[in-house]
Amino acid sequence: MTPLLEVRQLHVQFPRAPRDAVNGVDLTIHAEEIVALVGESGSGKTLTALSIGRLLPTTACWRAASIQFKHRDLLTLPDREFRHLLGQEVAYVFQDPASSLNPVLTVGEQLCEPLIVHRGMRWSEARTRAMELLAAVQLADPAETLPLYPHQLSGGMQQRVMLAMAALLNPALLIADEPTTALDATVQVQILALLLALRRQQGMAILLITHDLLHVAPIADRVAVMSQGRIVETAPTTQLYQSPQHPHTRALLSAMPRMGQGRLTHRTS
Amino acid sequence: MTPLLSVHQVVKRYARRTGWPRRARGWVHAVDDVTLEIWAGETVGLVGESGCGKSTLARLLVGLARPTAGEVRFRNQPLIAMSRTEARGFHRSVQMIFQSPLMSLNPRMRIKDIVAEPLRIHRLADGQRLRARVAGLLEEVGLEAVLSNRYPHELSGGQRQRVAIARALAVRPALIVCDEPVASLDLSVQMQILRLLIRLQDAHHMTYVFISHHLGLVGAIAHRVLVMYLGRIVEVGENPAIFQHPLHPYTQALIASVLQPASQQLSAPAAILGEPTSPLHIPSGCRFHPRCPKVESRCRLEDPALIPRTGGRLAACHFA
Repeated sequence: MTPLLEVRQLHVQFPRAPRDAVNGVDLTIHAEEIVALVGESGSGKTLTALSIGRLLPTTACWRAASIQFKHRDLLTLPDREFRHLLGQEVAYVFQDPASSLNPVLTVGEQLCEPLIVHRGMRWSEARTRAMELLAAVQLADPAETLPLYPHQLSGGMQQRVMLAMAALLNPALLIADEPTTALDATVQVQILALLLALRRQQGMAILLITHDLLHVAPIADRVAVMSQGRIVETAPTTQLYQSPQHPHTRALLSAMPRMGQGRLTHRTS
Repeated sequence: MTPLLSVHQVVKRYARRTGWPRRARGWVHAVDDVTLEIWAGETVGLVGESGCGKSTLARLLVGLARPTAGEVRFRNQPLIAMSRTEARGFHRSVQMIFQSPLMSLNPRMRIKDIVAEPLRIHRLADGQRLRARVAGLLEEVGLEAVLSNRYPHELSGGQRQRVAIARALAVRPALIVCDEPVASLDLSVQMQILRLLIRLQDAHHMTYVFISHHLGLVGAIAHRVLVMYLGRIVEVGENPAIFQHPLHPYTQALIASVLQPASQQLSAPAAILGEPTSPLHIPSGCRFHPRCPKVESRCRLEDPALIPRTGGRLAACHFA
Protein backbone atom coordinates (compact mmCIF):
# COMPACT_ATOMS: atom_id res chain seq x y z
CA MET A 1 0.00 0.00 0.00
CA THR A 2 1.43 3.34 -0.97
CA PRO A 3 1.36 5.91 1.79
CA LEU A 4 -0.87 8.98 1.65
CA LEU A 5 2.02 11.27 2.40
CA GLU A 6 5.69 10.48 2.18
CA VAL A 7 8.33 13.04 3.11
CA ARG A 8 11.96 12.11 2.53
CA GLN A 9 15.03 13.92 3.77
CA LEU A 10 13.41 17.22 4.68
CA HIS A 11 15.78 20.00 5.71
CA VAL A 12 14.82 23.46 6.93
CA GLN A 13 17.42 26.08 7.73
CA PHE A 14 17.46 29.70 8.74
CA PRO A 15 20.17 32.17 7.71
CA ARG A 16 23.05 32.38 10.22
CA ALA A 17 21.64 29.50 12.31
CA PRO A 18 24.35 27.13 13.58
CA ARG A 19 22.46 24.00 12.53
CA ASP A 20 19.50 22.97 10.41
CA ALA A 21 16.24 23.50 12.29
CA VAL A 22 14.91 20.38 10.58
CA ASN A 23 17.70 17.99 9.73
CA GLY A 24 16.78 15.15 7.41
CA VAL A 25 13.28 14.18 8.50
CA ASP A 26 11.55 11.16 6.93
CA LEU A 27 7.84 10.89 7.60
CA THR A 28 5.15 8.66 6.16
CA ILE A 29 1.43 8.80 6.88
CA HIS A 30 -0.98 6.20 5.54
CA ALA A 31 -4.62 6.87 4.74
CA GLU A 32 -6.82 7.06 7.87
CA GLU A 33 -3.79 6.86 10.13
CA ILE A 34 -3.22 9.14 13.12
CA VAL A 35 0.47 9.90 13.48
CA ALA A 36 1.77 12.00 16.35
CA LEU A 37 4.88 14.12 16.05
CA VAL A 38 6.15 14.78 19.56
CA GLY A 39 9.01 16.99 20.69
CA GLU A 40 9.96 19.94 22.85
CA SER A 41 9.82 23.52 21.61
CA GLY A 42 12.56 24.10 19.07
CA SER A 43 12.73 20.46 18.05
CA GLY A 44 11.46 21.27 14.55
CA LYS A 45 8.06 19.61 14.72
CA THR A 46 6.07 22.67 13.69
CA LEU A 47 8.50 23.53 10.88
CA THR A 48 8.12 19.99 9.54
CA ALA A 49 4.36 20.40 9.53
CA LEU A 50 4.46 23.85 7.92
CA SER A 51 6.82 22.79 5.13
CA ILE A 52 4.31 20.17 3.93
CA GLY A 53 1.86 22.98 3.15
CA ARG A 54 4.53 25.47 1.92
CA LEU A 55 3.62 27.67 4.88
CA LEU A 56 7.13 28.31 6.21
CA PRO A 57 8.17 31.89 6.87
CA THR A 58 9.92 33.46 3.89
CA THR A 59 13.25 33.62 5.74
CA ALA A 60 13.43 29.84 5.92
CA CYS A 61 15.26 27.79 3.28
CA TRP A 62 13.99 24.28 2.81
CA ARG A 63 14.77 21.30 0.63
CA ALA A 64 13.72 17.69 0.51
CA ALA A 65 14.59 14.59 -1.47
CA SER A 66 10.90 14.12 -2.18
CA ILE A 67 7.44 14.92 -0.86
CA GLN A 68 4.77 12.64 -2.33
CA PHE A 69 1.08 13.15 -1.60
CA LYS A 70 -1.47 10.86 -3.26
CA HIS A 71 1.03 9.96 -6.00
CA ARG A 72 1.70 13.61 -6.71
CA ASP A 73 5.07 15.21 -6.33
CA LEU A 74 4.51 18.23 -4.09
CA LEU A 75 8.00 19.57 -4.75
CA THR A 76 7.32 20.30 -8.42
CA LEU A 77 3.63 21.13 -8.20
CA PRO A 78 3.03 24.70 -9.43
CA ASP A 79 1.78 27.19 -6.82
CA ARG A 80 -1.62 27.51 -8.55
CA GLU A 81 -2.33 23.80 -8.28
CA PHE A 82 -0.84 23.64 -4.83
CA ARG A 83 -3.28 26.27 -3.59
CA HIS A 84 -6.09 24.11 -4.87
CA LEU A 85 -4.73 21.17 -2.90
CA LEU A 86 -4.39 23.12 0.33
CA GLY A 87 -7.71 23.26 2.12
CA GLN A 88 -9.33 20.66 -0.12
CA GLU A 89 -6.89 17.80 0.43
CA VAL A 90 -4.68 19.02 3.23
CA ALA A 91 -6.15 21.10 6.05
CA TYR A 92 -4.48 22.73 9.02
CA VAL A 93 -5.61 23.47 12.58
CA PHE A 94 -3.30 25.60 14.69
CA GLN A 95 -2.68 26.07 18.39
CA ASP A 96 -4.40 29.40 18.87
CA PRO A 97 -7.92 29.35 17.43
CA ALA A 98 -8.48 33.02 18.27
CA SER A 99 -5.76 34.14 15.86
CA SER A 100 -6.61 31.58 13.17
CA LEU A 101 -10.18 32.78 12.79
CA ASN A 102 -11.00 36.02 10.97
CA PRO A 103 -12.22 38.45 13.64
CA VAL A 104 -14.37 40.55 11.27
CA LEU A 105 -16.34 37.68 9.72
CA THR A 106 -19.05 35.70 11.47
CA VAL A 107 -18.60 31.98 12.00
CA GLY A 108 -21.19 31.32 9.30
CA GLU A 109 -19.43 33.53 6.71
CA GLN A 110 -16.09 31.84 7.38
CA LEU A 111 -17.55 28.36 7.17
CA CYS A 112 -19.57 28.99 4.01
CA GLU A 113 -16.83 30.75 2.03
CA PRO A 114 -14.75 27.62 1.18
CA LEU A 115 -17.89 25.76 0.12
CA ILE A 116 -18.91 28.59 -2.21
CA VAL A 117 -15.40 29.07 -3.61
CA HIS A 118 -14.28 25.44 -3.95
CA ARG A 119 -17.56 23.63 -4.42
CA GLY A 120 -19.62 26.33 -6.13
CA MET A 121 -22.45 25.97 -3.62
CA ARG A 122 -25.17 28.55 -3.11
CA TRP A 123 -25.36 30.38 0.21
CA SER A 124 -28.38 28.42 1.36
CA GLU A 125 -26.74 25.05 0.57
CA ALA A 126 -23.48 26.13 2.18
CA ARG A 127 -25.37 27.22 5.27
CA THR A 128 -27.00 23.84 5.66
CA ARG A 129 -23.69 22.04 5.23
CA ALA A 130 -21.97 24.40 7.70
CA MET A 131 -24.65 23.63 10.29
CA GLU A 132 -24.16 19.91 9.75
CA LEU A 133 -20.47 20.26 10.43
CA LEU A 134 -20.97 22.42 13.51
CA ALA A 135 -23.26 19.69 14.80
CA ALA A 136 -20.58 17.10 13.95
CA VAL A 137 -18.02 18.93 16.11
CA GLN A 138 -20.59 18.92 18.92
CA LEU A 139 -21.31 22.61 19.17
CA ALA A 140 -24.41 22.87 21.30
CA ASP A 141 -26.45 25.11 19.04
CA PRO A 142 -25.24 25.35 15.41
CA ALA A 143 -27.98 27.71 14.20
CA GLU A 144 -27.25 30.19 16.97
CA THR A 145 -23.49 29.95 16.49
CA LEU A 146 -23.49 30.88 12.78
CA PRO A 147 -24.19 34.64 13.22
CA LEU A 148 -21.64 35.00 16.05
CA TYR A 149 -18.18 36.50 15.73
CA PRO A 150 -15.13 34.52 16.96
CA HIS A 151 -14.59 36.72 20.02
CA GLN A 152 -18.05 35.80 21.27
CA LEU A 153 -17.02 32.15 21.58
CA SER A 154 -14.94 30.44 24.26
CA GLY A 155 -11.57 28.93 23.35
CA GLY A 156 -12.99 25.43 23.16
CA MET A 157 -15.85 26.55 20.91
CA GLN A 158 -13.40 28.43 18.66
CA GLN A 159 -11.30 25.31 18.29
CA ARG A 160 -14.43 23.32 17.41
CA VAL A 161 -15.23 25.88 14.70
CA MET A 162 -11.64 25.54 13.41
CA LEU A 163 -12.04 21.76 13.26
CA ALA A 164 -15.37 22.12 11.45
CA MET A 165 -13.73 24.43 8.94
CA ALA A 166 -10.83 22.03 8.44
CA ALA A 167 -13.19 19.10 7.89
CA LEU A 168 -15.50 21.10 5.60
CA LEU A 169 -14.03 20.03 2.27
CA ASN A 170 -13.37 16.49 3.46
CA PRO A 171 -9.56 16.58 3.26
CA ALA A 172 -7.51 13.39 3.14
CA LEU A 173 -5.00 14.78 5.63
CA LEU A 174 -5.53 17.03 8.65
CA ILE A 175 -2.44 18.60 10.18
CA ALA A 176 -3.22 19.64 13.75
CA ASP A 177 -0.45 21.70 15.38
CA GLU A 178 -0.92 21.66 19.18
CA PRO A 179 -4.71 21.82 18.79
CA THR A 180 -5.40 21.41 22.53
CA THR A 181 -2.56 23.31 24.20
CA ALA A 182 -4.50 26.55 24.66
CA LEU A 183 -7.55 24.79 26.14
CA ASP A 184 -8.75 23.61 29.54
CA ALA A 185 -8.01 20.01 30.47
CA THR A 186 -11.70 19.07 30.36
CA VAL A 187 -12.06 20.53 26.88
CA GLN A 188 -8.75 19.02 25.70
CA VAL A 189 -10.14 15.52 26.13
CA GLN A 190 -13.25 16.47 24.17
CA ILE A 191 -11.22 17.88 21.28
CA LEU A 192 -9.09 14.71 21.15
CA ALA A 193 -12.26 12.61 21.10
CA LEU A 194 -13.48 14.82 18.27
CA LEU A 195 -10.34 14.15 16.21
CA LEU A 196 -10.99 10.43 16.59
CA ALA A 197 -14.61 10.91 15.53
CA LEU A 198 -13.57 12.92 12.45
CA ARG A 199 -11.23 10.13 11.40
CA ARG A 200 -14.01 7.59 11.82
CA GLN A 201 -16.68 9.62 10.01
CA GLN A 202 -14.65 11.13 7.20
CA GLY A 203 -11.74 8.71 6.98
CA MET A 204 -9.10 11.42 7.20
CA ALA A 205 -5.52 10.86 8.22
CA ILE A 206 -4.26 13.13 11.01
CA LEU A 207 -0.80 14.43 11.78
CA LEU A 208 -1.00 15.51 15.42
CA ILE A 209 1.79 17.74 16.64
CA THR A 210 2.27 18.15 20.38
CA HIS A 211 4.86 18.55 23.11
CA ASP A 212 2.84 16.40 25.47
CA LEU A 213 3.14 12.63 25.09
CA LEU A 214 0.00 12.18 27.18
CA HIS A 215 -2.11 13.73 24.43
CA VAL A 216 -0.91 11.09 22.08
CA ALA A 217 -1.70 8.00 24.13
CA PRO A 218 -5.44 7.79 23.61
CA ILE A 219 -5.65 8.59 19.91
CA ALA A 220 -2.46 8.07 17.89
CA ASP A 221 -1.66 4.87 16.00
CA ARG A 222 1.99 5.72 15.68
CA VAL A 223 4.33 8.21 17.37
CA ALA A 224 7.42 9.91 15.98
CA VAL A 225 9.62 11.58 18.59
CA MET A 226 11.62 14.60 17.42
CA SER A 227 14.66 16.16 18.99
CA GLN A 228 16.96 18.83 17.59
CA GLY A 229 15.62 18.61 14.07
CA ARG A 230 15.70 14.83 13.77
CA ILE A 231 13.21 12.06 14.33
CA VAL A 232 14.91 9.94 16.97
CA GLU A 233 12.31 7.22 17.37
CA THR A 234 9.19 6.01 15.59
CA ALA A 235 7.00 3.28 17.01
CA PRO A 236 3.38 2.20 17.37
CA THR A 237 1.92 4.04 20.38
CA THR A 238 1.58 1.10 22.79
CA GLN A 239 5.06 -0.13 21.98
CA LEU A 240 6.52 3.35 22.55
CA TYR A 241 4.99 3.51 26.02
CA GLN A 242 5.97 -0.01 26.98
CA SER A 243 9.52 -0.05 25.69
CA PRO A 244 10.88 3.35 24.70
CA GLN A 245 14.20 2.83 22.91
CA HIS A 246 15.75 6.27 22.63
CA PRO A 247 16.97 8.05 25.78
CA HIS A 248 15.14 11.21 24.69
CA THR A 249 11.82 9.33 24.57
CA ARG A 250 12.49 7.93 28.02
CA ALA A 251 13.24 11.44 29.30
CA LEU A 252 9.97 12.73 27.83
CA LEU A 253 8.03 9.88 29.41
CA SER A 254 9.60 10.34 32.82
CA ALA A 255 8.83 14.08 32.71
CA MET A 256 5.10 13.38 32.89
CA PRO A 257 3.37 14.10 36.18
CA ARG A 258 1.37 11.18 37.58
CA MET A 259 -1.72 12.19 39.44
CA GLY A 260 -2.65 10.68 42.77
CA GLN A 261 0.89 9.74 43.73
CA GLY A 262 1.44 12.68 46.04
CA ARG A 263 4.01 15.44 45.86
CA LEU A 264 7.26 15.40 43.97
CA THR A 265 10.45 15.60 45.92
CA HIS A 266 13.26 17.74 44.58
CA ARG A 267 15.74 15.01 45.45
CA THR A 268 14.55 12.71 42.69
CA SER A 269 15.64 15.09 39.95
CA MET B 1 -2.67 29.49 65.96
CA THR B 2 -3.67 32.01 63.33
CA PRO B 3 -3.51 31.26 59.62
CA LEU B 4 -0.96 33.12 57.51
CA LEU B 5 -3.61 34.42 55.16
CA SER B 6 -7.36 34.03 55.41
CA VAL B 7 -10.29 34.96 53.25
CA HIS B 8 -13.75 35.46 54.75
CA GLN B 9 -16.87 35.29 52.58
CA VAL B 10 -15.19 37.21 49.84
CA VAL B 11 -17.12 38.34 46.79
CA LYS B 12 -15.61 40.01 43.74
CA ARG B 13 -17.84 41.08 40.92
CA TYR B 14 -17.01 43.10 37.85
CA ALA B 15 -19.42 45.30 35.93
CA ARG B 16 -19.94 44.23 32.36
CA ARG B 17 -19.88 47.43 30.35
CA THR B 18 -21.25 47.14 26.83
CA GLY B 19 -23.27 49.02 24.22
CA TRP B 20 -23.55 52.74 23.71
CA PRO B 21 -23.49 54.68 25.94
CA ARG B 22 -21.11 52.41 27.74
CA ARG B 23 -22.55 51.47 31.09
CA ALA B 24 -22.81 48.51 33.40
CA ARG B 25 -25.22 45.98 31.98
CA GLY B 26 -25.02 42.95 34.21
CA TRP B 27 -22.32 41.65 36.47
CA VAL B 28 -19.68 39.00 36.27
CA HIS B 29 -19.46 37.22 39.60
CA ALA B 30 -15.83 36.15 39.40
CA VAL B 31 -15.51 35.09 43.03
CA ASP B 32 -18.71 34.48 44.95
CA ASP B 33 -18.63 33.88 48.70
CA VAL B 34 -15.29 32.16 49.20
CA THR B 35 -13.85 31.42 52.62
CA LEU B 36 -10.47 29.79 53.06
CA GLU B 37 -7.41 29.69 55.29
CA ILE B 38 -3.81 29.32 54.25
CA TRP B 39 -1.42 28.00 56.88
CA ALA B 40 2.30 28.73 57.08
CA GLY B 41 4.47 26.18 55.29
CA GLU B 42 1.79 24.51 53.19
CA THR B 43 1.19 24.50 49.47
CA VAL B 44 -2.43 25.10 48.55
CA GLY B 45 -3.32 23.93 45.07
CA LEU B 46 -6.18 25.76 43.37
CA VAL B 47 -7.72 24.04 40.35
CA GLY B 48 -10.55 24.87 38.01
CA GLU B 49 -11.34 25.65 34.39
CA SER B 50 -10.86 29.03 32.77
CA GLY B 51 -13.41 31.51 34.01
CA CYS B 52 -13.88 29.83 37.38
CA GLY B 53 -12.35 32.78 39.23
CA LYS B 54 -9.05 31.29 40.30
CA SER B 55 -6.97 34.18 38.95
CA THR B 56 -9.33 36.73 40.52
CA LEU B 57 -8.96 34.92 43.83
CA ALA B 58 -5.17 35.11 43.41
CA ARG B 59 -5.38 38.86 42.83
CA LEU B 60 -7.54 39.24 45.93
CA LEU B 61 -5.03 37.26 48.00
CA VAL B 62 -2.09 39.50 47.11
CA GLY B 63 -4.08 42.73 47.33
CA LEU B 64 -4.05 43.49 43.58
CA ALA B 65 -7.85 43.58 43.64
CA ARG B 66 -10.20 44.75 46.37
CA PRO B 67 -13.10 42.50 47.33
CA THR B 68 -16.62 43.76 46.61
CA ALA B 69 -17.66 42.19 49.93
CA GLY B 70 -15.91 40.17 52.60
CA GLU B 71 -12.46 40.44 54.01
CA VAL B 72 -8.90 39.25 53.39
CA ARG B 73 -6.69 39.01 56.49
CA PHE B 74 -2.94 38.61 56.70
CA ARG B 75 -1.81 37.19 60.07
CA ASN B 76 -5.32 37.98 61.26
CA GLN B 77 -5.11 41.64 60.30
CA PRO B 78 -7.59 42.88 57.67
CA LEU B 79 -5.84 44.26 54.58
CA ILE B 80 -8.10 47.31 54.38
CA ALA B 81 -7.31 48.29 58.00
CA MET B 82 -3.56 48.36 57.41
CA SER B 83 -1.51 51.53 57.74
CA ARG B 84 0.89 52.49 54.95
CA THR B 85 3.83 50.92 56.74
CA GLU B 86 1.90 47.76 57.48
CA ALA B 87 0.71 47.54 53.86
CA ARG B 88 4.31 47.89 52.72
CA GLY B 89 5.26 45.01 54.98
CA PHE B 90 2.36 42.95 53.59
CA HIS B 91 3.39 43.57 49.99
CA ARG B 92 6.89 42.49 50.90
CA SER B 93 5.67 39.30 52.57
CA VAL B 94 3.37 38.26 49.74
CA GLN B 95 4.75 37.90 46.23
CA MET B 96 3.26 36.69 42.99
CA ILE B 97 4.48 34.75 39.95
CA PHE B 98 2.43 35.17 36.79
CA GLN B 99 1.62 32.84 33.94
CA SER B 100 3.50 34.61 31.18
CA PRO B 101 7.02 35.59 32.24
CA LEU B 102 7.50 37.54 29.01
CA MET B 103 4.59 39.81 29.88
CA SER B 104 5.44 40.12 33.57
CA LEU B 105 9.09 41.07 33.02
CA ASN B 106 9.91 44.58 31.83
CA PRO B 107 11.37 44.18 28.30
CA ARG B 108 13.61 47.27 28.73
CA MET B 109 15.30 46.06 31.90
CA ARG B 110 18.28 43.72 32.22
CA ILE B 111 17.82 40.53 34.23
CA LYS B 112 19.99 41.81 37.10
CA ASP B 113 17.92 45.01 37.36
CA ILE B 114 14.66 43.06 37.29
CA VAL B 115 15.79 40.95 40.23
CA ALA B 116 17.27 43.97 42.04
CA GLU B 117 14.18 46.17 41.70
CA PRO B 118 12.20 44.75 44.66
CA LEU B 119 15.32 45.01 46.84
CA ARG B 120 15.70 48.66 45.87
CA ILE B 121 12.03 49.46 46.39
CA HIS B 122 11.96 47.90 49.85
CA ARG B 123 15.43 49.40 50.63
CA LEU B 124 16.82 46.03 51.60
CA ALA B 125 20.24 46.33 50.02
CA ASP B 126 22.37 48.64 47.88
CA GLY B 127 25.77 48.87 46.26
CA GLN B 128 28.04 45.89 46.65
CA ARG B 129 25.57 44.01 48.87
CA LEU B 130 22.80 44.42 46.31
CA ARG B 131 24.98 43.04 43.52
CA ALA B 132 26.03 40.10 45.67
CA ARG B 133 22.43 39.38 46.66
CA VAL B 134 21.25 39.43 43.02
CA ALA B 135 24.08 37.08 42.01
CA GLY B 136 23.13 34.78 44.88
CA LEU B 137 19.46 34.78 43.85
CA LEU B 138 20.23 33.99 40.22
CA GLU B 139 22.45 31.11 41.32
CA GLU B 140 19.75 29.83 43.65
CA VAL B 141 17.19 29.55 40.83
CA GLY B 142 19.74 27.90 38.55
CA LEU B 143 20.61 30.76 36.19
CA GLU B 144 24.16 31.28 34.99
CA ALA B 145 25.84 34.55 35.94
CA VAL B 146 26.39 35.49 32.26
CA LEU B 147 22.63 35.85 31.84
CA SER B 148 22.41 38.73 34.32
CA ASN B 149 23.25 41.31 31.65
CA ARG B 150 20.73 39.98 29.14
CA TYR B 151 17.20 41.20 28.42
CA PRO B 152 14.09 39.01 28.90
CA HIS B 153 13.60 38.40 25.15
CA GLU B 154 17.06 36.81 24.98
CA LEU B 155 16.09 34.02 27.39
CA SER B 156 14.08 30.84 26.91
CA GLY B 157 10.66 30.45 28.52
CA GLY B 158 12.02 28.32 31.35
CA GLN B 159 14.83 30.78 32.06
CA ARG B 160 12.38 33.69 32.11
CA GLN B 161 10.20 31.92 34.64
CA ARG B 162 13.31 31.35 36.77
CA VAL B 163 13.92 35.12 36.65
CA ALA B 164 10.33 35.71 37.80
CA ILE B 165 10.93 33.29 40.67
CA ALA B 166 14.20 35.00 41.64
CA ARG B 167 12.40 38.37 41.66
CA ALA B 168 9.64 37.01 43.90
CA LEU B 169 12.23 35.41 46.17
CA ALA B 170 14.37 38.56 46.47
CA VAL B 171 12.42 40.09 49.36
CA ARG B 172 12.24 36.76 51.29
CA PRO B 173 8.45 36.52 51.21
CA ALA B 174 6.37 34.35 53.51
CA LEU B 175 3.88 33.53 50.75
CA ILE B 176 4.19 33.24 46.99
CA VAL B 177 1.04 33.06 44.89
CA CYS B 178 1.89 31.25 41.64
CA ASP B 179 -0.77 31.80 38.97
CA GLU B 180 -0.31 29.10 36.29
CA PRO B 181 3.48 29.44 36.59
CA VAL B 182 4.31 26.65 34.16
CA ALA B 183 1.38 26.66 31.73
CA SER B 184 3.40 28.32 28.97
CA LEU B 185 6.34 25.92 29.27
CA ASP B 186 7.29 22.55 27.78
CA LEU B 187 6.44 19.49 29.83
CA SER B 188 10.03 18.62 30.75
CA VAL B 189 10.72 22.24 31.75
CA GLN B 190 7.48 22.30 33.77
CA MET B 191 8.83 19.51 35.97
CA GLN B 192 12.16 21.31 36.46
CA ILE B 193 10.36 24.45 37.59
CA LEU B 194 8.13 22.46 39.97
CA ARG B 195 11.18 20.81 41.52
CA LEU B 196 12.84 24.22 41.86
CA LEU B 197 9.75 25.61 43.63
CA ILE B 198 9.68 22.65 46.02
CA ARG B 199 13.43 22.96 46.76
CA LEU B 200 13.06 26.70 47.47
CA GLN B 201 10.07 26.06 49.71
CA ASP B 202 12.07 23.57 51.80
CA ALA B 203 15.05 25.93 51.98
CA HIS B 204 13.14 29.08 52.94
CA HIS B 205 10.04 27.67 54.71
CA MET B 206 7.72 29.47 52.38
CA THR B 207 3.99 29.02 51.77
CA TYR B 208 2.64 28.63 48.25
CA VAL B 209 -0.69 29.06 46.58
CA PHE B 210 -0.31 27.15 43.32
CA ILE B 211 -2.97 27.84 40.70
CA SER B 212 -3.40 25.65 37.65
CA HIS B 213 -6.07 24.07 35.49
CA HIS B 214 -3.86 20.99 35.26
CA LEU B 215 -4.59 18.45 38.00
CA GLY B 216 -1.40 16.50 37.35
CA LEU B 217 0.73 19.55 38.13
CA VAL B 218 -1.25 20.45 41.24
CA GLY B 219 -0.97 16.84 42.41
CA ALA B 220 2.79 17.05 42.04
CA ILE B 221 3.23 20.06 44.34
CA ALA B 222 0.21 20.70 46.60
CA HIS B 223 -0.36 19.49 50.15
CA ARG B 224 -4.00 20.52 50.04
CA VAL B 225 -6.19 20.98 46.98
CA LEU B 226 -9.09 23.40 46.47
CA VAL B 227 -11.37 22.82 43.50
CA MET B 228 -13.15 25.92 42.18
CA TYR B 229 -16.19 26.08 39.94
CA LEU B 230 -17.88 29.30 38.77
CA GLY B 231 -16.59 31.45 41.60
CA ARG B 232 -17.17 28.93 44.38
CA ILE B 233 -14.99 26.38 46.10
CA VAL B 234 -16.72 23.03 45.59
CA GLU B 235 -14.27 20.64 47.24
CA VAL B 236 -11.28 20.84 49.58
CA GLY B 237 -9.08 17.86 50.43
CA GLU B 238 -5.62 16.56 51.12
CA ASN B 239 -3.35 15.43 48.31
CA PRO B 240 -3.39 12.59 47.20
CA ALA B 241 -6.60 11.52 49.01
CA ILE B 242 -8.74 13.97 47.00
CA PHE B 243 -7.53 12.39 43.75
CA GLN B 244 -8.04 8.86 45.00
CA HIS B 245 -11.56 9.42 46.39
CA PRO B 246 -13.05 12.60 44.90
CA LEU B 247 -16.46 13.40 46.40
CA HIS B 248 -17.78 16.17 44.16
CA PRO B 249 -18.92 15.14 40.66
CA TYR B 250 -16.97 18.08 39.23
CA THR B 251 -13.74 16.90 40.84
CA GLN B 252 -14.49 13.43 39.49
CA ALA B 253 -14.96 14.83 36.00
CA LEU B 254 -11.75 16.86 36.22
CA ILE B 255 -9.84 13.74 37.26
CA ALA B 256 -11.37 11.75 34.42
CA SER B 257 -10.14 14.39 31.98
CA VAL B 258 -6.49 13.94 33.00
CA LEU B 259 -4.75 11.83 30.40
CA GLN B 260 -2.68 9.00 31.81
CA PRO B 261 0.06 7.21 29.89
CA ALA B 262 -1.65 3.88 30.43
CA SER B 263 -5.06 5.05 29.20
CA GLN B 264 -5.59 3.79 25.69
CA GLN B 265 -9.21 4.91 25.69
CA LEU B 266 -10.62 8.36 26.16
CA SER B 267 -12.61 8.07 29.34
CA ALA B 268 -16.36 8.47 29.02
CA PRO B 269 -17.23 10.74 32.00
CA ALA B 270 -15.17 13.62 30.66
CA ALA B 271 -16.82 13.47 27.27
CA ILE B 272 -20.28 14.40 28.60
CA LEU B 273 -19.01 17.46 30.42
CA GLY B 274 -19.39 20.11 27.72
CA GLU B 275 -18.11 23.66 27.82
CA PRO B 276 -17.63 25.55 31.07
CA THR B 277 -20.70 27.65 31.90
CA SER B 278 -20.25 31.40 31.53
CA PRO B 279 -19.92 33.34 34.82
CA LEU B 280 -22.35 35.87 33.33
CA HIS B 281 -25.28 33.48 33.64
CA ILE B 282 -24.88 31.57 36.87
CA PRO B 283 -27.35 28.66 37.02
CA SER B 284 -29.93 28.40 39.78
CA GLY B 285 -29.43 25.98 42.64
CA CYS B 286 -26.16 24.08 42.39
CA ARG B 287 -23.95 25.86 39.87
CA PHE B 288 -22.69 22.62 38.43
CA HIS B 289 -26.12 21.12 37.72
CA PRO B 290 -26.28 21.77 33.94
CA ARG B 291 -23.15 19.66 33.45
CA CYS B 292 -23.56 17.20 36.29
CA PRO B 293 -24.14 13.51 35.54
CA LYS B 294 -25.88 13.00 38.91
CA VAL B 295 -28.31 15.92 38.61
CA GLU B 296 -31.75 15.62 40.28
CA SER B 297 -34.60 18.10 40.69
CA ARG B 298 -33.27 19.21 44.09
CA CYS B 299 -30.01 20.39 42.50
CA ARG B 300 -31.84 22.91 40.31
CA LEU B 301 -33.38 24.59 43.35
CA GLU B 302 -31.07 24.26 46.34
CA ASP B 303 -27.53 25.59 46.38
CA PRO B 304 -25.43 23.04 48.32
CA ALA B 305 -23.15 24.44 51.05
CA LEU B 306 -19.47 23.57 51.39
CA ILE B 307 -19.67 21.35 54.49
CA PRO B 308 -17.26 18.94 56.22
CA ARG B 309 -17.32 15.26 55.25
CA THR B 310 -15.35 12.29 56.49
CA GLY B 311 -11.55 12.46 56.51
CA GLY B 312 -11.33 16.25 56.87
CA ARG B 313 -12.81 16.72 53.41
CA LEU B 314 -15.12 19.59 52.47
CA ALA B 315 -17.54 19.21 49.59
CA ALA B 316 -20.47 21.21 48.22
CA CYS B 317 -22.80 18.59 46.76
CA HIS B 318 -26.16 17.18 47.88
CA PHE B 319 -24.98 13.65 47.18
CA ALA B 320 -21.39 13.73 48.47
